[in-house]
This record gives sequence, structure tokens and C-alpha cells, in this order.
Amino acid sequence: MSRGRLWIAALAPQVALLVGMVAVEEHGRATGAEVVLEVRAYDPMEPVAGRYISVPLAISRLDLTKIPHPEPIPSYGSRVYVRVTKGETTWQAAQVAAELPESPGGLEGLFLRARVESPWNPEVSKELRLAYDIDRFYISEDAEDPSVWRMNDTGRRRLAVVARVTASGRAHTVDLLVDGRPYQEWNREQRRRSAGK
Amino acid sequence: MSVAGRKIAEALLELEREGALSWEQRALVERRVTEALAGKGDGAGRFISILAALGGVLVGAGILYLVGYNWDQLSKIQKLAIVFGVWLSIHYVGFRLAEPPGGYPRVGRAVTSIGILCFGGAIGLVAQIYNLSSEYPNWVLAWWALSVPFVLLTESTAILLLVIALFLVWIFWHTGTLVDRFDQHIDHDFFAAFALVGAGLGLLWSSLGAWSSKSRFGHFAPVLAGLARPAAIGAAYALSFKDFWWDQMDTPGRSGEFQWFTPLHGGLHAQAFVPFAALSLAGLAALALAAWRARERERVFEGLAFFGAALALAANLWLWPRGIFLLANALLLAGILVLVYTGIRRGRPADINWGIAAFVLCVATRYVEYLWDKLEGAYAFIGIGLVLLGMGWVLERKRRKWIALSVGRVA
Repeated sequence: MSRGRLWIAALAPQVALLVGMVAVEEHGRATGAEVVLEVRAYDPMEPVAGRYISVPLAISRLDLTKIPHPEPIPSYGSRVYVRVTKGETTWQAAQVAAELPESPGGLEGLFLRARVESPWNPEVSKELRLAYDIDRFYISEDAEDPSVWRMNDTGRRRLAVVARVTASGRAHTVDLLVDGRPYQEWNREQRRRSAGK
Repeated sequence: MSVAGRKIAEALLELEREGALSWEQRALVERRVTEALAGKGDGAGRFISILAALGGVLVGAGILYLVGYNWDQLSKIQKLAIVFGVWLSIHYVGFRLAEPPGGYPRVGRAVTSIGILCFGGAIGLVAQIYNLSSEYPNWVLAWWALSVPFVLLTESTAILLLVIALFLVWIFWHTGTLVDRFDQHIDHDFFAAFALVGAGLGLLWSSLGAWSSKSRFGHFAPVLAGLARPAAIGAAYALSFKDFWWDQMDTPGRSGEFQWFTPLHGGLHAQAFVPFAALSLAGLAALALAAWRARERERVFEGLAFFGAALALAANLWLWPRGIFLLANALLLAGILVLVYTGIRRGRPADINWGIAAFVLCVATRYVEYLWDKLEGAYAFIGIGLVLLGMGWVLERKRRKWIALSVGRVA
């Protein structure tokens, strides 16, 4: 095999990985059902990844006294599926299931895949902590951060993630809504305001 | 010229007479060997490599800065086109420069290194575009694992070191995330897992060095063997602190259903040994290949010594973690003696230097550990200063003698 072909063979798996990442995300966005999920955001910075808003979903913490769940509680690190139903503005958790139902039957809503994040200790707490792996929304270095608010602001902004959920329960982040408006639109307006002052 | 250099020159002359080498080839090889034996190396070539690498890093940083500055103005397709375009172009330029008829192998390798770094950047940018995150650092795993073919293809030591650096980032990050996931994990789980990863790395690198020694990657062997030493010393050193293991590890049986022999090994999780077990298996496989193919007995024995020491540490942590500091200190002492002895016998000043460095580290640490509380402020500083000065004086004399001995052995 020529050196050129060897180089192409070495590069091919890397290209395949990146193309695969893009394809999976695009497929999920194209075919998934849309949900809007409330978040409780804050703004961290990671040297490798850059600036992002951490957007842990409100349904990351579930009160098990109010939500049907499997017994025994799935152990730390295991996979669960959270059924979400459409609320007034955002979707809310209605049930925790250990398995993804093959046919949801008459069940209303969608199932979101999650991972049990904290050890379950019923003596200490009735709260189950979950991770959905859609807890980041990247913004540019000079963008406005909607997770912080100042004293002269009218109040804390309502933030929600728009995601598309595939049949496997995997969620793909599409956008971040700030008081019901897409993030880019909100950011442009904030910049105009800052420039006008 | 040294005795070794004279013998090599004679052998080269003989090859020229037999017609295996031309006059120019013989002269070139002889000049390079003489330079290498004199410790001069190819200084100009190295300077070009460093210059080219710095240039590559600056160009890469500049492109990323430009992209970052205009990130908001770019559509998704434009972003993806830039990510793929820049990354693949860098690889193409590296290939054209390094491979015949390019004629610029050093600059070409530097550009390929930037291409490897850019692959990580490309993964990060795709993750940014789609807002992806993951619990385990699988992207770093993909980064180093898919970059290994370039080490084999280029046979470049610089690229080998780059991929090893990525591997180190991944293995420690992954191990930390794994331990963090244990139900009711304790600090000792982290310490044990990280130290055992160090011991496993010592075995793995030593074995890979032995395996590569008789192949076309033979020039990797001293680099890998050189990395195995600090890894093993670091592992034993991390476990050599008495207070951490003896005084604080007093709550056996708190770590749940996965525990085996809980009364014996206290609160450590059995899963903390998993990364070490994986590294050991990989190291043993490489060692078996080395024994079978390279037939380098000395290097294979060295690999077995690393395995024995790592296994002893793991067994001690499994059965009696509170007493790990005893074995760790004993292994450190044995390791120091072996390094100095084999350094003299095999003519390796680097081994002698590693032995001395480990000795200084141990004495200084133990002094601080046991005497700091017993001496007051200024006296503690004066005491440490005097100990270090005294050690420096004794070791300088000994080191000179040992290195002279090691050179004499080789000659």
C-alpha cells in the first residue's frame, strides 16, 4: 500500500467518528419529537470546551413521594426513563420507569432517557437526582449570559431547553429559550440595548 | 573517540569494503553516531523541529481565534466546513511536507502533530455546535486511540509523546470519574486507584519498550523504558504516606455489596482495582509478545520486575490497605538500589539520576512527615535546609563516581 493510502487509512476512522457524531445529531433533530423543558441555569467555563451555560433540567430532581417510580429504586449510575407530559409552558415529569416501554399504549407524553446520578438513600431523602446529558448550552465568549440577572432587571428570567427526543429516549438540544424567545434573538436584543446605553 | 565509537567506525569501514554502504553513507552514519555518542545530537535539526512546532501552534491558535471571534455570525454548515476543512488541510500539508518528495520531514512532522491536536479541537467544536456533553471523557479516549495510527505511520518520537500525553489525560480522568461513581466512595478509593494506575503504566510502558526494542520502532524503546521509571516511582511514592492509610482508614465495611473480604481490606471498593487490572493485562500481553518475538531477556526481566512490584502493591491494598505504606517504602528503597546498580552495570546515567531523585524525594518527604510537628517554625526550615544541603553534597560525590563507573563499564 502506498504511503498516501496509509495516511488516508489512518485518517479514515477519525473522519468517520466526526461524521458519525454529526449524523447522529442531525438524525435526532430531524426525526425526534419536540419538548420544552424548564432549566435552572448557571454559567461555568471549561478551559477545553469553552464558555457554556450549564442548563440542568428542572426534572433532574424528582420528588418520589409525588411521582410513580419502580421499586426498588434503580441504583446509582443505572439508566431510567422519565415520562414527560406537556404542561402549560414546559413539559413536566409524570413517571419514572426502569425500562423503555415497547409500546407506550395509552400513556400520554414521551419517554426521556436519564441516568441516576446520586446514590439513593430513602432514609435521607425522597429526592431522586438524574442526569440527561443535555445539560450544556454553548455560547460565544462575548455573548450575554441569561443565567445571571441584575437588581434593576424585572426578575429572574425563565429559561427552557428545546430538545428533540428520538424513539430511544435520547434527547438532542436544539435551542435555549429565554423568557420564551430563542437565545440568539434574545442575545441580539441585549447587545443592541448595551450598545444604545 | 571512545572505545564504542572506534568499534562502530571499524564495523562501518568493513561494511563499506564489502560494498553494503557507499563512501557517503558510511561517512554520514559515522558522523551521526559520533555526535550521538558525544551527546551532541542533531542540535540544528531539533531547533528546526521546535521552531516548526511553535509556528504550527501559533497558526492553529490564530485560526481558532478567528473562528471563535466570528462564531455567532457563522451558520452550522459554515462552522462544520471550517472545522473539517482546517483539520484535514493541516493533515494534507503535513503529509506533503514529510513524505517524499516533500523534503521537509521535521516541519512535516510538526504540522502532523498540530493535525493530531486539531482532531481533539474538531471533536470539541462539533460537541459545541450540537451542545453535547458526556459523563465519561470518551472524547479523549477517541482522540488518543484514533491518533495511534499516526505514531506507527510516522515513527516519530514527538508524536508518540503527544499520544502518550493524551492517554495520560484520559486514563486519570476516566479513573476519577469511575471512582466518583462508586456508592459511598472514600478518599482512599481515589488514592488507591490513581496510584495503581501509575503502577500499571510502569508495567505497560516497560513491556511496550521491550516489545518494540527489536522492531522498526526500536527507537521508542528507551523512551518508553524511561517513562516507566517515574510512573512506578510515583505509584510507590503516592502510597508511602503512613498517616493517610494507617490513622484514617478505620471504618471497614462501609462500601456496599461489591465488597469481597471486607473485614480484611477495610473500606476500599473492589472496582477501584479495575483500571489497574486492565493496564496489567495489556502490559502482560505486550510482555508475552516481547518474550516471544524480541527475545530481549534483560528487558523482559525488567518488565517482570515492574509487574511483580505492581502486583504486590495491588495485593497489599486488597488485603491490608492500612499497611500499604510499609510495602510502598520498601519497594521505593529496593527500586532506588536497583536503579543505581543497573545504571552502573548497564552504563545508563539516566537510571542513576532517577535513583538519586527518588532517594532525595523520599528522605525529604519522610523528614517533613515525621519531624515537622516536632520542630518549631525556624528550626524546621533550618533542619530541612541542612538535610538537603548534606544530601546534595554526599550525592554529588557519589553521582560523579557512579556515572564514571557506568561509562567505564560501557567502554
